[in-house]
Amino acid sequence: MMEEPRIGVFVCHCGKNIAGTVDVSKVTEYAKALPNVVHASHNLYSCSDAGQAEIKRIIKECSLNRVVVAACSPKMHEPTFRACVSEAGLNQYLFEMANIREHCSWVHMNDPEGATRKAMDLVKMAVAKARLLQPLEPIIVPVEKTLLVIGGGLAGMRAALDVADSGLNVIIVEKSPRLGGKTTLLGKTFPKVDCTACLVNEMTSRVLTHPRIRVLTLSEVTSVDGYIGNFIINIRRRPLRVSEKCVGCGRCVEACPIEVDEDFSHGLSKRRAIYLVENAQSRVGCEQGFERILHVPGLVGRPLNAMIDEENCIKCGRCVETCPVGAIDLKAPGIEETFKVGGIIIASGFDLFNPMRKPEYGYGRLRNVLTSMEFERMIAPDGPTQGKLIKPSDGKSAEKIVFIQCVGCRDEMTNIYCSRICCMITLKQALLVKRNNPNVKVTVFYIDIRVGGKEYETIFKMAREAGIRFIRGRPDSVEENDDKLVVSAEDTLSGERVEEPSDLVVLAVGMQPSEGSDKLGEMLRVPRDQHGFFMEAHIKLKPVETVVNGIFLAGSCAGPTDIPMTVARGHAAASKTLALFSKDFIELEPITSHVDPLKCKGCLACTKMCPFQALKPIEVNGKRVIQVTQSMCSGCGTCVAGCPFNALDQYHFTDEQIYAQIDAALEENPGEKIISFNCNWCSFAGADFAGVSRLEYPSSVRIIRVMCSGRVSEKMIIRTFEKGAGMVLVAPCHPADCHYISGNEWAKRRVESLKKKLGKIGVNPDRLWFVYVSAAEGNVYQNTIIRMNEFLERLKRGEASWGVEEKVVA
Amino acid sequence: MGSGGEGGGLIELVKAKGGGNPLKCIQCGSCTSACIVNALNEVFNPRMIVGSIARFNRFPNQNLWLCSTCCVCVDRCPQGVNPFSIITALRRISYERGEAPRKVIEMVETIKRTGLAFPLNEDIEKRRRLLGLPEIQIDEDCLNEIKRIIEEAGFK
Repeated sequence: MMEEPRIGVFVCHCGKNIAGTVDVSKVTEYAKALPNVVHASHNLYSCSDAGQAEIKRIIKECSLNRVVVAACSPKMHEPTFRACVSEAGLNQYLFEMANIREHCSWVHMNDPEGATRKAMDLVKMAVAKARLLQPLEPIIVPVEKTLLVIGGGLAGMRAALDVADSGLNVIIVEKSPRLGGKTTLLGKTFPKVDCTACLVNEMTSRVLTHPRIRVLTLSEVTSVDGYIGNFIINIRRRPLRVSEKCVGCGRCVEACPIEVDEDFSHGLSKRRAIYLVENAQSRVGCEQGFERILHVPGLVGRPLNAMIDEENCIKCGRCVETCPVGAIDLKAPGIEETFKVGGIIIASGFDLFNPMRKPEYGYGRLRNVLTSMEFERMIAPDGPTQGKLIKPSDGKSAEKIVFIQCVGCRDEMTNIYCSRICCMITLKQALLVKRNNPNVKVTVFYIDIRVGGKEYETIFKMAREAGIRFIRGRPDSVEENDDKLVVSAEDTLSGERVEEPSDLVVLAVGMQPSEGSDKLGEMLRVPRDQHGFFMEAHIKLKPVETVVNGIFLAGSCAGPTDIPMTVARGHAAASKTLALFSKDFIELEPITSHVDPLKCKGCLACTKMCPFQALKPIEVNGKRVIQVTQSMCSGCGTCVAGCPFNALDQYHFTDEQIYAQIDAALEENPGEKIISFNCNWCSFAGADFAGVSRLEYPSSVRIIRVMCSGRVSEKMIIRTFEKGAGMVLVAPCHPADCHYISGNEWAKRRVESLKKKLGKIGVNPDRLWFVYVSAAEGNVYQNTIIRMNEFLERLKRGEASWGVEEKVVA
Repeated sequence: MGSGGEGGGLIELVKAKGGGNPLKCIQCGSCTSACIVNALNEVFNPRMIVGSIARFNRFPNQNLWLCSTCCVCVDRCPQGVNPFSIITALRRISYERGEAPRKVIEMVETIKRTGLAFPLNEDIEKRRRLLGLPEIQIDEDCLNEIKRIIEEAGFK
């Protein structure tokens, strides 16, 4: 049985911020008369040391077991007062706050009476909830201090090294046979035109020799389970056909009958289905008993090793026969492995746009049209032509080169975004061409040259001074005329047509999400943005975190990045991981949902609403019921609101507590009030922002805070109308902004469906509003309340119908 | 607003006449580059037509009736602007203002009167006789149908 509540109410003046508008003594006297309130007082600054000392003193003196502070926004000082009451020996969840500053005094400055009446209601609502509060303990989970990095490119390696250098274990899973990602394919890099090998090889070699990093190449994540601190990962490793016995003699290569195009060589160089890569393949024992198999291409001075191209190998066995050391086994099996990790960094990188999707540019049809990556290989000293500029069609030297920008970018038919790096890649390549072949003529067709990065503009200037011609116009086609290519465009600065003849056309292709991002995202439950890139928890403030705790983003998997930003994101993701790994245990907020197994009918409706897979069916005495994995529950309450049997509830935001708030708010003159359900992250913060900006609106509104608009059930809204509320507002985050991925979509669905039913219970559906309000849209919240209040006034004057029968069509 | 603009109305008017949204245009010139009419006569420039509306809210000072309606501009535009529809919308506006070329107005009148797109004049009759073609008979039922279509489309 719950002890009898003994509630203390502390009303804050906040200097003149509150007391200048709200009559705090009147509010205090009002609070004293509320049931279970044994103490009420007001002071100048509740959050000050003196104010907190006073609260602690009275908790002890009056044996308080619940505390309500009526002051600023809980988003401001809830943590302060929670700490304060817990220092006085009270469970921190036995504290409730009434926001009488941002939501009251600051927005009703010219309506002191209304503000005071509202403050009294807000205190009454907080007391009503406080009466039902229950002590809660944070959910404590251990942290497995091993990091999984998905992707062994630049970002993944950078993050892995940072974490491993701090003494923690890292597993890198890489799909391809080698580390280094796309970066290793580049000859030189902008803006300093320094050589890629110098940038990447040192890093690759450190990763491969690091005692705390285990590298799994040719491997993919197949399933992910668990939660922050405790993920269970399954990894499939493709078979290694060539063992560490290989000495790199190359006889197998000579024996292989299969010849294929080398990657990104534009068919200018071939290799066999078994080929030598400059790599080290060795087994290294690690401190923690890891055993590694290494593949490192491009490491100068390292021994060569044979590698089998699984896609093209026909398993004829000639290589096996030829091998003098018996290193090849075509029947070697793949391996499945399971790991437990505490954190995950997604560094799955990007893919290049396939220009076959823009057939007007002739790629694949015209031999001398290349992608920027193929051209990069052509001008690289270790590329298929050893850096010579040739026409692939006849092998003759190329005298004229045209670059076309924005291929597959800023294009509604392909990718609408700008890839940010293609301008710089073209400038770099054009400059390298000019540096090594001053007589070659270079023309760049562009829409806008976008080179906003440190030292980038200098490169653009150098390019112009080197005599590279820039024509502002997006070509519509590339055609062949004799042995020349002709690029047609409008020079939009003069309005003249340009028919530019050329030997080579380089298509500056953009970046797009890497293949498999969707599959990976579904496995990890990390949402992708409208383009398919992984989505940050907040585009500005949480750029490497995701909405899933313990999963971070590095590099270009979250959107196009250049090398400096890729490295920076790698560091950033590592720093978030280290903060997580700095503790042996982490505390999770216990405001999760829980199930009453006696009421649960096992209908599974809730499982569809949970984007975190926290709800799973189990068998209890032969009956199917739902079980909530507390550590996976993020505490939105969407499932609670959607349970058809009331079997679910949410700690700290129970149905009973919210009903108590509704009832308290509507005890007096309910028909003159608007009840507004605001989600903690967006619209509650948006209403706070209206307060901070002193945007005035009518004092008829009473805000009830929920973690997510998905927590607002149809029953809750019906009860609000039954209690006589004039108007009801459900204010969620904008679509796709939901902190719980899809809670706002469920809120929308429920409100829409309820609007159809409201008529039956005699409520005009126009009295229920649904308005998206972001944390920055104080003005939207203000306007919404002003408009709702106008409607309320019309209701009161009898110009609009309360019920549905005589509803006037506007 | 740029100088010589038509107030706020032209963009909305173009939208209302089915032109889509000219404000999406980034002036890249793909449409002009692809335009077969521009290839013959640079005076006709779809990018400038769209730009004139989107940037200056100004009725373009170009011969809109040169457009061959081949629609390659629509195909090439990376921003989903529809220069063809914009030009068509401008033609409608121009016709309603009575600013369409005489030949166009004549054609419209011919269609209304006869249901035929080409005028039935003495020259054509003579040529048809020379070629041994029969005299054109106007089918009243068809004509009434066309008149009804014109009426129901709200065309004046």
